[in-house]
Amino acid sequence: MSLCSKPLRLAVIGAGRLNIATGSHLPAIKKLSSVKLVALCDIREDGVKEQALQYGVPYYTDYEEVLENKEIDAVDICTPDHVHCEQIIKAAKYGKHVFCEKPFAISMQEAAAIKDAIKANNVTFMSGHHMRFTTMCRNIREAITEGTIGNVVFGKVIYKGAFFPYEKNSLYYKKASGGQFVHNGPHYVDKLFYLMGQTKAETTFSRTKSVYADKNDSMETANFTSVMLKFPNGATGYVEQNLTILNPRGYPTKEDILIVGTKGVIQWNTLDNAPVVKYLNGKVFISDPRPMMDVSDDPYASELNHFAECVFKGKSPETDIELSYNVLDVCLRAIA
Amino acid sequence: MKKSVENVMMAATLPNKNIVSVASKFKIKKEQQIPQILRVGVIGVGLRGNHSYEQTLNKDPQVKILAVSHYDSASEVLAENRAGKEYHKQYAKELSAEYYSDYRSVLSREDIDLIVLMCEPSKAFKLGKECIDAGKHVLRDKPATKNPEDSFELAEYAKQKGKMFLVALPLRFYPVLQDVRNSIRSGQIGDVTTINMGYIWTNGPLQGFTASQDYVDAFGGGDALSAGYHAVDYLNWIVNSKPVSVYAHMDTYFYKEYKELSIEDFGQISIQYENGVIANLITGRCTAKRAGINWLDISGTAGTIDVRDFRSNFESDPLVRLGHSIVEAAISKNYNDIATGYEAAMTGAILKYALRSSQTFSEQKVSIDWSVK
Repeated sequence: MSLCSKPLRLAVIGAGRLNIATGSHLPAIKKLSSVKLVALCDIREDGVKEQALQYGVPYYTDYEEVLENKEIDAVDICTPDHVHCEQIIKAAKYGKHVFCEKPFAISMQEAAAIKDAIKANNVTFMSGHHMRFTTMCRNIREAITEGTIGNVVFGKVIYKGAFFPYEKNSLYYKKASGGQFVHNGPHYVDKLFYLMGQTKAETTFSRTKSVYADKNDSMETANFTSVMLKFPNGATGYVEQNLTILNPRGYPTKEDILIVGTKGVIQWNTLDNAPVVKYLNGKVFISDPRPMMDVSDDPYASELNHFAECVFKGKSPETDIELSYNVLDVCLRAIA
Repeated sequence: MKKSVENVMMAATLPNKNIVSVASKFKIKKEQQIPQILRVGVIGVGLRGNHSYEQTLNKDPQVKILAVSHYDSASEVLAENRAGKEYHKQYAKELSAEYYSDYRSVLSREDIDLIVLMCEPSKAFKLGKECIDAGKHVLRDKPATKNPEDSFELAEYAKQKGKMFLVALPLRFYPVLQDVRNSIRSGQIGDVTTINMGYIWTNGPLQGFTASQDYVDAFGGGDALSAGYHAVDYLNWIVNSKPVSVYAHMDTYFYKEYKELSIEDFGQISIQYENGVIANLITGRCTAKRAGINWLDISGTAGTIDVRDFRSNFESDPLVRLGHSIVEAAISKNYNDIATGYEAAMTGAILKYALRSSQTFSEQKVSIDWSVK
């Protein structure tokens, strides 16, 4: 994945505990020649030190020191959601390109401020929406862009999973994350945007529901959200995030996608062992079952490679500030 | 009685039906079955598919079809033009029934218990009343009438006259969907919290079918309302609560003439019920060349149910079950699982709210005037 004679020098902020950075981003970066990990940062010194030793890079406990380091081209922000805004804006002011895990902000005020900072400082910004980089999504989108189902008129993405309780000081509470649909909803909204080939949508209607075994488990926000969307081209969409399954405790995550076109439909769901099934002109096309993630096809590696490519080529990433802003807008309107 | 959608919503929750699983019914030994025969007349013998419910009924050993007729000369001519001069007579012969050129002759036969009324919804109210006046039970296809208010009034009229106004809605008779309903009613999954249902017909646009203003006037809508009628009835049946709010997107994607007539072929309907259940439905017809696209996801406080392709997942013919349920209702007054006119009125009303929502881009609060009844 070499894009330039020199790789993008990247520091990961928020890498001091088991999270998206240590669990997914750092292993992905190891696979890339386009990105070189040059530093780690976290306020938890013990945790970040351990990771730094493992990856053979220096570590910081103050992210502003990372920003001051001129040997660093870009930062990958994996900190709790409520500090993203401050960190992105500061990074932009230091001229760093920014990759930030979703949600990049938890309010539209934050999102607008970030948008201004990115534009004012002319840096590349990309929000982490790794699901669009999965083989499954790429296959479906490829089938659509080839015109195999005609014009896309409707799409749905449903995510259904087990309820999980929250620890007392969890960073998933509303104050720190905006709530479940702000924290996780961007995954599914972005996925639908991508599959439909759209970058914005009107939130026409939503319903929310809170289903908790115990009030103390509540994240203070609904754990069921359904939202209807209307796209600028007249197509419509439906996104549902349902994390209310209290019983059985081990209920497996289920994802269900339906894309309806004027000439056919594409269906995909996790219950069917993840093949891509196309129903076209009276024939059924079923791909080999593929896992969503594997060593050779890591969506986190793909998205970070895309980020590096955009920085080097001065291109706008697929999930740039405009798209990320629009995705967040859908999520926040859905729970308003 | 004030006629309004609101009246319909209120009354539709009233029937106190005996809830018995059809699956268990079919285990009844032959000698225990009610030995009576349901004598059937058919009004409306156009060219239809598997929704010709006289054929469904004819599969039941307790049914005897005695008479058939058209409901007017126009429909008789239309059928003859499409299928030949002797089509209707041949059809009657196939059913071992007598053919009448005037439906009133069917109604005047005292040996007929139930009329299968297969006319356009816009004509169902008037003809249905005539059937009831003639002392017959009435079985309708969906939509039972063009307007839900008419379904409600017809149900009330039938009740006053001691007759039954029944509506054939086959989804209630798919074994897997009956299992789902029984699981919910028995409390197996606790309190239902949310439902996501897909009921999408395929192979559209239908070959040889052209929508016209006459069609719109007769049926009141397009494919989202038509397929949606089945699905909304099923949702009402399993949720067993009054709707309090409806929101819908209705769109026209596949039929050029639908667009010209401003009727829909695809849609999403979201229903909030009084008991807290949220039901989201995707319905209509698309062009995919395959069997219908169906799913049902139900979340409850003590469990969850995921069903895929429920129409292809059955061990016995749902229509046979449907037919037997009609027989049981008409002979032994056991409504069992068959939809009543009240329930059809409720379904029609929800779809009316859905259409209104789609036209006004606004959530429709379902208000019920409880003092009316």
